This record gives sequence, C-alpha cells and structure tokens, in this order.
Amino acid sequence: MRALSIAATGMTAQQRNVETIANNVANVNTTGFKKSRLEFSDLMYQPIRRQGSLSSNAGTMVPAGVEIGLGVKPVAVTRITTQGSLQQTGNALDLAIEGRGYFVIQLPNGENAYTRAGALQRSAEGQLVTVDGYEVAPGITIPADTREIVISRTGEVLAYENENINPTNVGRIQLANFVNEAGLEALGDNLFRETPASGEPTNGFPGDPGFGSVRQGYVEASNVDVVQEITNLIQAQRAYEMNSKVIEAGDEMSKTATAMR
Amino acid sequence: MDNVGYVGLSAQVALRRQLDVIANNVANMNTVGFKGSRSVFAEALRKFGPSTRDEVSFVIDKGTYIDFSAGPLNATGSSLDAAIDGEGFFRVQTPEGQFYTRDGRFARDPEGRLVTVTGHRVLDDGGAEIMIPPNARDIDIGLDGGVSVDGVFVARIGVYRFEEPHRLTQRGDLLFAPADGQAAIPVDGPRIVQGMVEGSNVQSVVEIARLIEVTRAYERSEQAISQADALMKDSATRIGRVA
Repeated sequence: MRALSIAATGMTAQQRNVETIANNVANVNTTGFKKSRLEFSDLMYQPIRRQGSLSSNAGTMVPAGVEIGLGVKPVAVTRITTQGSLQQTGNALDLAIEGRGYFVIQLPNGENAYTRAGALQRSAEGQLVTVDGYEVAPGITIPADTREIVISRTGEVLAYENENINPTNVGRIQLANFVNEAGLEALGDNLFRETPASGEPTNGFPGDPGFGSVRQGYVEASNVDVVQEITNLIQAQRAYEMNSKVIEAGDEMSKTATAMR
Repeated sequence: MDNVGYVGLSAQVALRRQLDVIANNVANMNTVGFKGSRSVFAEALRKFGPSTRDEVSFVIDKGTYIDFSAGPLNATGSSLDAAIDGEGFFRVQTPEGQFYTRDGRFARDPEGRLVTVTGHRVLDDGGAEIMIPPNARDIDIGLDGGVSVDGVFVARIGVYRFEEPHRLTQRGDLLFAPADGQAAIPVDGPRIVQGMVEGSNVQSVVEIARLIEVTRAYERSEQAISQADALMKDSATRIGRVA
C-alpha cells in the first residue's frame, strides 16, 4: 500500500515547512534578517498502465494511463531578499543598506562573510566592527579623538576630530553583490558565505550602479511579515492533518482486509 | 460463486490505487504549480454463459487523468515569482530535454540565467535561455511575460499551450512532458503576474470526501466477499449433512 508512504512524505514535508516558519517567526525582530520559504515539488510518477500503449491489434491506443505519483519533497529553502523596513535608531554607527548589497565582514579565520545587519561598533583599537567584533571591510579605523562620525549615503566615513571644522575622510565602506543572493549559505549570527550557487561576489561601493546606498542612523528590520507567517502556519498544520487522515484511511482499509477472514 | 470474490477483489485493487492517487494529491496540497490527478474506473465484462444474463462485471482502474484547472494565485512579493493567469505553461530546459511547467518560482543561477527553483533553465519565446545581467537592480516581469532589467528589455518568457492537455504526462519536479507528436503552441497574449505564484489546485474538502468514499466502498466490497464466503460455507455444511 503506497498511500501510507505517500502521506508520510506529505507529513515530513509539512513538518519541515513548520520548522522554516518557526525560524522566520523567531527572527521577527532580528536586524537584517531575511525570511525563508520552503519550496515543494512533486516526487516521481510510477506508471501502472502506460498511456500510448496499444490496446488492440487494430492499433487503438490507451489515451490516458494509470500514473501514480509518489508524494512530495522539499526542494529548497529560498531566502526572500526583499528590503526590510528601515528603523531609525539615531546611533551614528547604525547603518542600513537601502537597495542591493551586503557589508563585507572579515571573519577571524581570514575568510569573508557578508551581512545586511549594519549595527556596527568601535573596537578598542577604533576599528569599525560588527556586534560580534568582526572587522568590516576594508578596515576603517576611527581616530581616538573623534567627536562626531558622519557616514554619507555613498559610504564615505568622515570623522570630525577634536575642534577641527573640516572632517577627515577615514575610508569608504565596501559592499558586495551576488548574482543569486538566494544561493548564499547562512552561517548564523546574521552572516552569509558565498557558495558555488551564489556566484563570486562583485565588489563595489554604496551608490554604484547595481548597489544600494547606506543610511546612517538606521538599521534594516527583519522582512518577516507576521500575519503572512501565521497564515502559512495554519496552512501547514491543516495540510499535516489531512495527510494524517490519509494514513488513517489506509490503515482502516488494511484493517478491513485483515478482518476478512 | 467464485466470481463474487474476484469481483470484490477487482474493486479492492482499484480502490487501493485510488487511495494512492488521493494520497499524492493531499501530499501536494501546498506544492506550487501542482495539478491534482483523478482516477477513472471502468467496467470490464466477462461472459461465461450463452445468455446475456450470465455476465459478470469487474472493475478496472482504466486511467488517471490530470486536472488542469487553475490553482489559486498567492501573493509572495518576491520579484522573481511569476504565475500564469489563464492557460499555458512555461518551457524549461532540463538535461533530458524540454519540458513544461506551471511552477513560476524563479531564481538566478551563478551565471545569471533565469532558472526554476528545481534548477531547470527557463526559456524565452524563441527557445533561448534568459540571461539577467549580474548587476541588475530591478527585475520587472510584464503582463505579457516581457522581462526587463532596470528598464531595459531582456527577453520575453515563453508561454505555450497544448491541443490535448490530457495527453501530457507528469515527470516529477512539477514538469509535464508532451506525448509523441504533440506540439507546443505559443499562447497568444499570455497573462503573467509578477510577485504571485499559482498554488496547488488540490481542494482539500474534495479529497477528504473522496477519501471517505474510498474507505466505505472498500468496506462494502469486503462485506460482499465475506457474505459470499459465508454462503459457500453454509452450502458446504448443508450438502455434507445426511438428511
């Protein structure tokens, strides 16, 4: 009886779906978080009676055969990279990217990671770092006696030192872009890593063609829409129930069969 | 007398397969672009006597057909999602050849080609792959399927229909394969909606109703077999008894 295993694929898939939704809802307030969606696809089909096979010597053909699909499979978890809303924080080192692009982060092991979460800090040495203390490319050091930092929309970091009226340009924040953003690998801590699916990063600066601009004093909120997630959750739960009903029916039919004698 | 058992058995075999078809529909209740299947039963007659009254009809599940009715359009907000509003299929290139799908969850591969979520390349109305420039900011899919990147026209997504859609077969991965000699006809003025996907056309209420029907029909045929069996047993004891 295939029905039992077919319904089991349905239940497993819906369980994964609920897990994805749970992660989205859990990150509803995470800065720079991008929601994911579990994608389903049907499994293979098993022909019992092939269409197009001859049904008589006169050459008549079977117009539609018996094909039994073997269930459903989750094919991908797609990250939906729509822009999250910008939240004003007033903090001079909070940066939001408006448009496409990722901040380039140097991990302690020397590799690059990418993030949309721009709540930056100053390290003890004055370097611009993420909340986890990882350096932001290309490595910008803010002088110790800076009284005000201004970051322009094109990513220029200007530091007003002491009583100087004119700011010093201490560097320009770099952004990276990917052809297929959904192909990036999520590392946790709001970080992403390039994969063969995402393609090589294209480096550039904020405001360049194809890159977004940087907004100082804002952070990008999570793009999770709670109402939509709850609707998806209801759908997933009902689908799970329906699949369990199919298992029940299959079980009942087997019971009937064994009760025959 | 034996025939009751075999008639009941033919019904049970067919019903089990119908349950499999329902199970697959229910499992794909939330699968984008999925089209549900239905079973068709038929009567198979067998004469075993000279008169027309001596006919026994068995059940065979003659076929399954795909229900091509439209699924609901659900908004996703993703610019690479597209749904066909009305008839037609997207054409995709796979290693095994060209197939057709209603699944409009597109993505870009590392080279910038437009692909489906299952990784198959989406083809334009001329049968070529659709390339999206790497530094694309805005991707816009027009109602007619025209893809423009930052206001520059790139390609038009091909939408095709078939004369006899029931001859298409399912391949898994939400793909449909045309039968031998079945030609794809370009749809005149297709309607493509960006930011939406077409949900599965499986209606849960209908499937559950069918599920109940199948279970009960199975029980009924089981009862018929048991009763025939009881009758046989009864006659066997009566015949054997000395009056």
